[in-house]
Amino acid sequence: MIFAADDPLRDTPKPTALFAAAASYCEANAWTSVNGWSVVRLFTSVEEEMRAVRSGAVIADLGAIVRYAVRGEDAAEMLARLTTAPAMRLKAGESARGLILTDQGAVIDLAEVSRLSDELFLLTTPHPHGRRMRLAARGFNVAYDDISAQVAALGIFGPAARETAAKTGVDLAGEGATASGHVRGVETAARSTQFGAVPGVELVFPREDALTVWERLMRVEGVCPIGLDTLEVLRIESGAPRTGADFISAEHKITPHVRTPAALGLPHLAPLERGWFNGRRGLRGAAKPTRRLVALTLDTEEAAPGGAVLADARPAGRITTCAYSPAAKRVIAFADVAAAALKYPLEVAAPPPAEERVRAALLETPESALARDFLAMQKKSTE
Amino acid sequence: MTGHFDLVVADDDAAGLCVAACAARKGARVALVRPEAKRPRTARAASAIPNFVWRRLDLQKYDLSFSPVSAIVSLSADGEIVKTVESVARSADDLETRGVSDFDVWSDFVREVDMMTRRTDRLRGEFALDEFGRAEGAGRANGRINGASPIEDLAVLSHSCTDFLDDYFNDERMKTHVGARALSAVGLGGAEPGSVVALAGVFAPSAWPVRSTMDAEDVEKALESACEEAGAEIFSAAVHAVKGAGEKFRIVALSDGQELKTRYLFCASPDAARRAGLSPFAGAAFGAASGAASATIRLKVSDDVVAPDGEDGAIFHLADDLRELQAARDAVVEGRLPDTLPIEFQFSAPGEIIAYTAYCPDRFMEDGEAREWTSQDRQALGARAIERLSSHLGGLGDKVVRSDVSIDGAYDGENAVSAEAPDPRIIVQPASVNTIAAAVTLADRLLHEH
Amino acid sequence: MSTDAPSPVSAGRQTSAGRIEGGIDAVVIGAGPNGLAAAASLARAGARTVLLGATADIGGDGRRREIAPGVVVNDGEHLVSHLDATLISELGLYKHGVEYAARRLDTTYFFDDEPTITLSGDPTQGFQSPDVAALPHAAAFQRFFDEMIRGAGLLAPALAGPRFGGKGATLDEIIERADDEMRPRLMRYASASVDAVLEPVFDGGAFRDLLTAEATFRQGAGPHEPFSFLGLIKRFSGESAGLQGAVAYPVGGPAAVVDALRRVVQNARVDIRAPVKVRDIIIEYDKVAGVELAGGGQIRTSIVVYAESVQSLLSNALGAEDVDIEYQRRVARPAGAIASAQALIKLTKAPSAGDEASALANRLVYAPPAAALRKSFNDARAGAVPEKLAVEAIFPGAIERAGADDNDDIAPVLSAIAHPLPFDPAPSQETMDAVEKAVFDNLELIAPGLAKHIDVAEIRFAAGAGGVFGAPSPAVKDEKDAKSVLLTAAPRGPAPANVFDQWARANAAATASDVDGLFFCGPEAEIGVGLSCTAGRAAAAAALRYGRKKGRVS
Repeated sequence: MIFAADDPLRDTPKPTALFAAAASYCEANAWTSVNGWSVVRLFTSVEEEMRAVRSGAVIADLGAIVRYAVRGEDAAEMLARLTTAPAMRLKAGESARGLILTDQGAVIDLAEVSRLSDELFLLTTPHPHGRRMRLAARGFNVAYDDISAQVAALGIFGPAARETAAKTGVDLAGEGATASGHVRGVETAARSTQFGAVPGVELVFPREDALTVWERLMRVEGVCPIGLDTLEVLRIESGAPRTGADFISAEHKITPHVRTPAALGLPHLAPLERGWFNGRRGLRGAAKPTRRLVALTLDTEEAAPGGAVLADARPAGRITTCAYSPAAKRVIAFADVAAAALKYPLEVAAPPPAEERVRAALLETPESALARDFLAMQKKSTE
Repeated sequence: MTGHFDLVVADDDAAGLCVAACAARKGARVALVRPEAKRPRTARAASAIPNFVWRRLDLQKYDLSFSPVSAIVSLSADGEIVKTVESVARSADDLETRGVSDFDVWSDFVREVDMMTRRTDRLRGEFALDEFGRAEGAGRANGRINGASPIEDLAVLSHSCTDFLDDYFNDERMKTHVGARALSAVGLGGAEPGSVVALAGVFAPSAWPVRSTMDAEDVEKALESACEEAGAEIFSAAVHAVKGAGEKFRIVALSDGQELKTRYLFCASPDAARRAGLSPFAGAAFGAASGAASATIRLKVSDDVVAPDGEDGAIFHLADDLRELQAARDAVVEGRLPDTLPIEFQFSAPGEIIAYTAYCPDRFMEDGEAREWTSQDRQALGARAIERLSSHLGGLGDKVVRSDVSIDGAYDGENAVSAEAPDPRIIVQPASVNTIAAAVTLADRLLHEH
Repeated sequence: MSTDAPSPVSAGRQTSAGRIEGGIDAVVIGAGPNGLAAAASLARAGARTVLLGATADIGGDGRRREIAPGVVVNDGEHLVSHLDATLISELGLYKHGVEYAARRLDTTYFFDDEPTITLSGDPTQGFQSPDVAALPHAAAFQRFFDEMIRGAGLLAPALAGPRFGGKGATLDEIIERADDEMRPRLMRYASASVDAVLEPVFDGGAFRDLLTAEATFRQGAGPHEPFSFLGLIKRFSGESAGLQGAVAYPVGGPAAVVDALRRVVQNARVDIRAPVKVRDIIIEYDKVAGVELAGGGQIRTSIVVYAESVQSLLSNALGAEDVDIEYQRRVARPAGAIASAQALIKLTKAPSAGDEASALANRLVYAPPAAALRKSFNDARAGAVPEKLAVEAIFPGAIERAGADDNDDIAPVLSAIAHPLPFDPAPSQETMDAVEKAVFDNLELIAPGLAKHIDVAEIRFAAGAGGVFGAPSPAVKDEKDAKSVLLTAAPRGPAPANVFDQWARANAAATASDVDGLFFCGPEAEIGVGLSCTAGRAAAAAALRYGRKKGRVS
């Protein structure tokens, strides 16, 4: 569900399967590029789109997210090695989140693993990992395919997401459930998902049927499309970091500086007792993080990535991503902060004309709650 | 003594000019020695002027214009084409449509070789610097990024190109395409340890080769005025001798009798070193072909010869197999012309093809005796090049109107500069696809010591 | 067929299916020289140790063999140049039968057109004869050689074996610590080609040829290739019989060292079981918990020393599902292209003890011209059998007799290794004929007229890494031919690419994927060729440190 950082300067973006549909609805005409795919930033405005999310159901083009189909008798083992998700324990129809780590335990990327059937898995990642997939598959009886270009992917979010999906023929029983089959003649894989507190459904179907499914959804009353800027608000509210923006993939750096799941506030996604995965041994010996990625609320209406975070009036870190949350009437942000600074009250410098320091407070997100519960449980079990 | 310098740059191709100008901008005392006898200018595509050099020299002030080559294309004898372009994503798409199974790792590959470039540049600096027995600790810490040691880097770079490609790609066409591009530029064989260095920067968008849309001479004139403005002194003479081995300074004697005292004598490429009469062995420990010369073959052809796949602005490599490159390298090591000559070529103008090969021996070995290049050798080389082009371009042989072969870096016993090689004060930047960036970085590191 | 060696296989208990065995401190998997060294070190330090051999042949293939009725030869390594000094003293190998027939063999070099040169077996002593000192380049050679020996001495700790658990010096630290004069030189030694280093010193001549031959002998990289110079450094960094750079010959040949190791292992009450196939290394809570055998039984232990190939570790013992992706990539070793061949030859008559008597007891080396050797490496890599080969030959009988007073005839046996040859796991008859011809042609330059006196000869592709030669395959003896030449193809593997590459891979392999309690000392953990046992000894030392820290070994 998480997009990789946008890269509008890198290449001429390609149209996703839903490009034509999205373009016809894109009043604001604001675009960017993610992984070389065109992505809508805004259809109308963030406020309007956010209102739609809260009130009913919205749809978003998720075509810029990378998807691999992994098949074979060792598919579960291979994914359990590559990611920290408990692929071996998933039953058909179940999904789980995880991380991709280096042997040092440094985070390369986020990952979602869904078991579609006994020997067929769907792996979803923000960045493509062609080379790593190939290396990870050595020694296993698996075949995998990057299906990103062959499929259309679409997210339905909001309180009415599941009903909306049901109206188009997708029936999902319970959370974490995955369905695959034919929906009104279209081969579809669907899974129920969650964007923080906002429930959602993700549909993956053949590229050729992109417009049919989009129109079918748009005909449901109250449904409107949302762009990446609104997804950013949802993402920061949910507490999930964005690869390439909040942290740099360990594979994209030449410095051996290790950023562990704990440093990103995601220790619960790589629990050591989950069984072996790539990077687990490195993680076991990893030092306590000296820098932490935290979600903040800022008492201001404007802020920019790169802005300084101060602790006790001294520089302690910087904002990595931020967005104005219409609900909270303030900016919410991710910031990379020295771990030692977290015991002090935090501030950020507001941009002109205010040019004053404003209060920053740690934001309790669904993700940080999971991390806190996980650490508490871990502490209890060691005691 | 005509002058006292930190850096004397021999030869005046774009890389040498950039090094001289950048070093002078940094406040170093720089001399540029340009040979009087002009060699024929080729319209070969060159490595791009990297952005950091552009910024430092404010090249926007000079009227320079370049355009990237349209593609890098490898042609096999059976007419198969593998093509990559500057855009990584489009290259992957093109590979996919041609049925190359490795298209999915292309972007990972480009990224990995890009990282290798940084490590290699750093390592070259480390090696060049280490030859000087500089003060304990000084500068050494600067070369380290978070404690990564040069030996660890070296361990990665000690592998062979073939091993690396075998590990990366499954498709033989892909290995051949990448290997031919990387190795042909440096004249190495893929099986040689350390040849993986040749991959550094290859295909990276930042190192994508360019063609000047203006005359090569105009480009050099512009860069020359950048040099002058930066305060570098220009001497129109050839290097005659280098004296003072073992001391802190070298005396570079010029053909016109002037003598320049300098800390370092710098050549931006082995070709430049050879043109200056120096041993290309001097600074290069790895990633450089030894005992080799290069040849440029200009062909006038009839107008109906067209570029394969319609790519007029591309660089072409004739590549059937990586083993072919190794066999060519073996021939060079043994002092003979390769039977199958690896060739890079491009269509420089309508009816003109410029072919280049780095696989020529600097001298010939016959019955254990060395002998220099003769005009027969040049003819033989030209014939082999045409024959080879002909086999890949469908009967080009009949359409060649005129051919002209020039050899760079042939051993010239009489005029060879007597410097005790390897002289730690003579720096020869190993050949690479990204000469300017690598050379300027290396010169920066040299001067950083002072 | 082994003669005086004790039966290698003890009547050890076989763990039956379903049985779980406890009370064992350490299991050593693999019974080659490194496995023996590790088992001996562990057991002598008080650990209850089980040694599991894949075949009944404990001690590896480096054994004595009968190539013709009554002609017993030392099969495998024929000299010792890198034997781990710490191992010898710790295990008391001298007390267990290791005795040197020659501690410092002089080397006599043969050339195409130049007179022979003999160098002292003590590399610091230089030339033995004033004739040699008068040769062109002799002074330059001496200067260069002294410098190189000094550099080799400095780099020796890093080149001896891999670093286990942060103990020991890395190449990098050594270079870093060197003084301003040595540092650039060491950096150059580590990365340059033989040609690049020698070119400025010698413009040709016998000295350059002999250094080139020594540097590239049994290496995968030719003298013109980068990193090849480290081969020479490795050759002279080794220690045997207490002297850096010396070459020694133990009584009974290097196999005697393996025999002694076997005796130590038996005396130390190591429980030897062979043949036993290991199915899996059991890992619980990220630590080694035991070994599962093919029969179904288990041995519980917290320490496993693995002395077989990294390939078998990855594909069988651990499996990709327990190995980090990065580790797998780092240790994956591409197949090399170049191998050596060993010739074991029984002559019809003993070599004459005439005017060449002293030379017969030397190490004899034919050094082809450097340019020819370059071509040979190119040919071999391209799959062709080269004309010119560097050859190292000894007359074991002459060496064993050299110390004795009597003038009995020496055993008429010659052992030679020739390099470089193309590595070919299944050579055709044509290739084998070509190899035979090349080996004999080049041997001829050391021993003129040899061909006329061959009674029985056996030529085999020799292995590179691993230190020992391929197992003998049943050879078909050609009865019709009085001078019968048996050429068998029993390649264990090609020569390692170069010492630098080996150093890097050995250190990567020795981390054994960071599984707690697993220590790797297979062939990939060795640097250079020859019998050294350093990896086994160091792995055992690391295992003991680990065991003591965990309180599992007293």
